This record gives sequence, C-alpha cells and structure tokens, in this order.
Amino acid sequence: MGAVVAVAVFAAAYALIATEKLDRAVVALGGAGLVLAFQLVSGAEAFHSERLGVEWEVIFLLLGMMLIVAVLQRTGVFEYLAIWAAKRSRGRPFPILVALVGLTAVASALLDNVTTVLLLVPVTILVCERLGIPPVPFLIAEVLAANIGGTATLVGDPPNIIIAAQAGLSYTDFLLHLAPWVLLLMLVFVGMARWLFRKALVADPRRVRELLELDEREAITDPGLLVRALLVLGLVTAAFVLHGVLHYDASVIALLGAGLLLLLIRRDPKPLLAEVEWGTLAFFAGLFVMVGALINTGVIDALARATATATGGSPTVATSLLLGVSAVLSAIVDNIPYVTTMAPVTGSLIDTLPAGGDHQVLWWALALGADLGGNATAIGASANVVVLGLAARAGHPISFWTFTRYGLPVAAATVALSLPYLLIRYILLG
Amino acid sequence: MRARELARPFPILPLDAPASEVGRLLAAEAVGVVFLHDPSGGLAGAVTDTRLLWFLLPGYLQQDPALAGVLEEAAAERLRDRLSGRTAGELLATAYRDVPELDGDANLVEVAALLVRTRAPVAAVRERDGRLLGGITTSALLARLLGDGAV
Repeated sequence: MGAVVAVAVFAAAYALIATEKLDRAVVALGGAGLVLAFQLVSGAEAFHSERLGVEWEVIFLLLGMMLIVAVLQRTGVFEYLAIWAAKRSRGRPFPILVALVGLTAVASALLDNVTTVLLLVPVTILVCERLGIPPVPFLIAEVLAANIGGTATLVGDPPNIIIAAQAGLSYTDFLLHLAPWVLLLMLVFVGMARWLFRKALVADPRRVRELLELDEREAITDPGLLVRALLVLGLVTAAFVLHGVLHYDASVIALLGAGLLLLLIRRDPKPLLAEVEWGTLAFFAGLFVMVGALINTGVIDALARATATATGGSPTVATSLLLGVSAVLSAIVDNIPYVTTMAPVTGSLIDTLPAGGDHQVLWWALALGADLGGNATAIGASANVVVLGLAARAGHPISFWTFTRYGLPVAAATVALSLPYLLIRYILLG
Repeated sequence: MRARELARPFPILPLDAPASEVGRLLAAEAVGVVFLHDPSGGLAGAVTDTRLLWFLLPGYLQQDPALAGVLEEAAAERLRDRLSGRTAGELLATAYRDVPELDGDANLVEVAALLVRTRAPVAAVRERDGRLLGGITTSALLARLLGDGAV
C-alpha cells in the first residue's frame, strides 16, 4: 500500500512539474510533505539518512557554486572575453560562432549552464547587431554548446552533481571519463553548426568597423573584484581536481570557496545571497525526500529488477537502454527529477549485473543521456528555456520548432555517437 | 482641492500615429506624458519619458547594463533610429497599459492612494460622463502637496 501511495504522490508531482501548473519548488516540497505525513519515510530518515534522505552534498555544492557565480557575474569577464574574441575574429561570422560556442562550453563546464547563457546572450546579440547578422542561430548554438560543455564536469550540469553524490564519483572521474569525450563532441558540434547555420553565417564586411569600435575593457569596471573572483574560482577548480590528495568533498570545497570569496570582496553579501536560487535548492530537497519514499517502499528496487530483467543482465543492453531512454525522456521532461529518480535505480541495477565487470559505464550512460538529450527540444533543459525568454525580450523570438529543428539533430548525433564510445571503451576494452 | 482641478490635459494620440511624434512631444515639448487611445476611443496606455527611454534602449542593454560601457559615444546617436518606422502602438510594449483612472471629484489623498497602490506615474481623470479631463502625474501631485512652503 505504501508503495502505491509513494508512486501516486510522485507521479502527481511529476505531472505538475512537467506541465508547469505550479512552481516546481512548491510541488516538490508539497510532495515531500505528503510522503512524510503518510510516514512513507520518517523525519529522521529524510533529514539524516544517507540512503533515504536529502543529499546535503548536492544542496551545499549548488549553494557554494551559486554564490561564486553571483560574484563572477559582476566582474564583466564574460562580456570582455566575448567581445575580445569577436574582434579577434575580424567580424567573420563562423570564427565568431566558434569562439562564442567555445567560450560557452568552457564556462558551462566550470560553472553552470543557466548562468553561462545568462551572461553570454546579451553580448552575443550586441555583436550580431553590430555585424548586421541574425543573432538567433548564434543563441541556439550557444545554448547547445552550454548543454554539451556542462556534461564534461561534476559541477557543469545539475544531473552530474546528483550522479556524483549517488555513485561516489569525484570531479576527476568526470574529467577522465567524460571531459575528453565532450571535447570530441564539441568538435563534431562545431562541424554540424557550420552546416546547420550556414545561411546565417554571412556578414557585410563593411559592418566590421562597427564591431571594432566596441571597447571590451570597459566591461570590467572593478579589476580588483575580477582578480579575486578568478583566484577563488581557480583555487576551487584546483581543489576539485586534487580531491584524491585533499580528500575534501566537492560541497566542502565549494562552500570554502564561496566563504573565502565573500570575505575577500568585502561587499554587502545581501544582494549576492539574494541571487542564490533558493527555489531550486528547495526543489532538490523536496525531490530527494520523495525519492527516499520510493526507495523505502521498495519501488526503486522493483524498478531496478524490472530493468535488469528487460536487459537480461547484459551490460551492453543496459548501457544502450539507459543512454537512449535518458536522452528521450530528458528531451521532454526536466532532467533533474528524472536523474534524481534514476540514480538510485541505476545503483540498484549495477548490483544486479554480473560481478567482475566495471559497471561504472552505466553512470556515464545516465549522465550523457540526460545531459545531451536536453538539447533536443526547447524545454529539454533549463538553459534552453532561459535563452528563449531572453531572446524574446530582446526582440529576437525563437519558436519551439525553430529550436527543435537545430537542437534535435545535435542531440541525436551526440547521443548516437556516445553509444559506441561507451560500449567500446568500457565494455569491449574494459 | 479635487482631482479635476489638478488634472492637466496631456496630448492623446491614436495607436497608428508615428512613434517619432510621441518622441517629439516628450523630448521637444517636455509634456511629460502622452496618452494613447485605441480605435474605439478608449485609453490604451500612457507613455512617459522613462518608458520611452526604456523603448529606446536595446533589450540586451537592459539585460546586461555592463555592456553600455563598451559602446562608443556615437552609439547614443543611433538610439533615435529605433523610433523610425514604428507606430505609437508599438510603444505599448513598454508603455503603462493599465492607466489608473479616477473621478474628477476624487480628493488628493485618493489620488495619492491610487498612484501608490498601482505604482503608476500618472492617473487619468474623467468626468462622470466619461469625458477625459487629463491626467495627474506623481510630480504634479507632490508639487501640490509639498509645494508653496508646505515643507
């Protein structure tokens, strides 16, 4: 009976999140309240159990990174780099596109996708208007690059943070297993972008002078703030990489970095704290409690057993299925609740596979499917929704179908290419 | 004092009037507010100096004010181009669309309460028969409430 109630609450919450009838944080907290009220999971389990409760590691890692990003946003460094790169490209559209998607991919690997596009969309429109070229293809290319680039690291995309916490994977694990592959996917994507956006990559050479008149140095109004922010971001990233030596959890590093940065900049922290996405943190906390109820009532184990039966205990089939299903579902629903649910399923599924193999491949299949699948539609990832909103407000609306026309082939190609990568590297050669 | 005594007539233009005419009235004649009316004669919105500036500023500069610094001085000259070929109706995107209205008999405290509640910079004043008398701006109200040695 408990399992039925847990599934009913979860399904209702999922439907409300997908249809955006209510704020997602309200839905998740409401669902958490219900499963606690029905005693499908106890208060002690929800708040203190590593297996059933809130993944505080995820919450505090996000909090720390959000605070660091709030400071970085004020430095003007992204505006500086984007204009500098566009000027160095001498106004030629394709090199500008390559520079902007490269910058987006790197920034979204180090920070998060939504912040990256928030910072780069306005400056991209400025550059395109100066050159008299339509900004829409550039904006779509940037958000696709943000979702691909974010796949590379533990902090690049929220699903990766959830997977890392659930699987006990480190920042270095992501760097070794996903980052090189993401780099290759970016090269493929740039080639696809050259073809997909070929009609838009034509500029009037006479407009180049207007681009060159921009003074990127003026974007940086407080060099001291920039130096401190980059110093702390560098230290935090180095500490993530040195996890094997330092043995600090990623959340601890992010919190230490955020605290150090707030001390160093000596500014009123209230505006920075106001920029933390508290709603997102509440959404995560509520989801974890709801998924804890699914675990506690045996739903997750049953789902894992059903998946194991469907795959016949074959790691190849399991990897293919996880990658494909994750990509398709992430294209149509928010990938955060999907990965929050699927992470414990994947953990249980790994336990059912034959002993002796390196079944970590399933975690990478989940990450690649969920992160890359989000590119397929305009609602597949939070960054896509944000870019559509920003573009519309700036007078350059992007319709759902316009986005999908470009996003779907990119998602399909990157996911399809990822399958042989996973099978060859981890199953054939593993 | 009643609202009808403080109300002053502001220019009122149809939605298909050139946007540049709204700009000229606000800039050259410093009228402060231009009302826009729809084809049926109803009040469609009010354009103030600030809202016109909002329209003149490209969206990307509103989203990222740091970018304003990277522009050269000549960029300011191009802002006026954003009005060319546009109609007053297109200004509705940044205009106050729901201009609060009150009766000519309303007292000044009622006017103040309405402007505070709606956070609007201007309220339209009508006679009981629906005739538009004009508008009362926040600055005109403050001048009446605090002026003449009141503070």
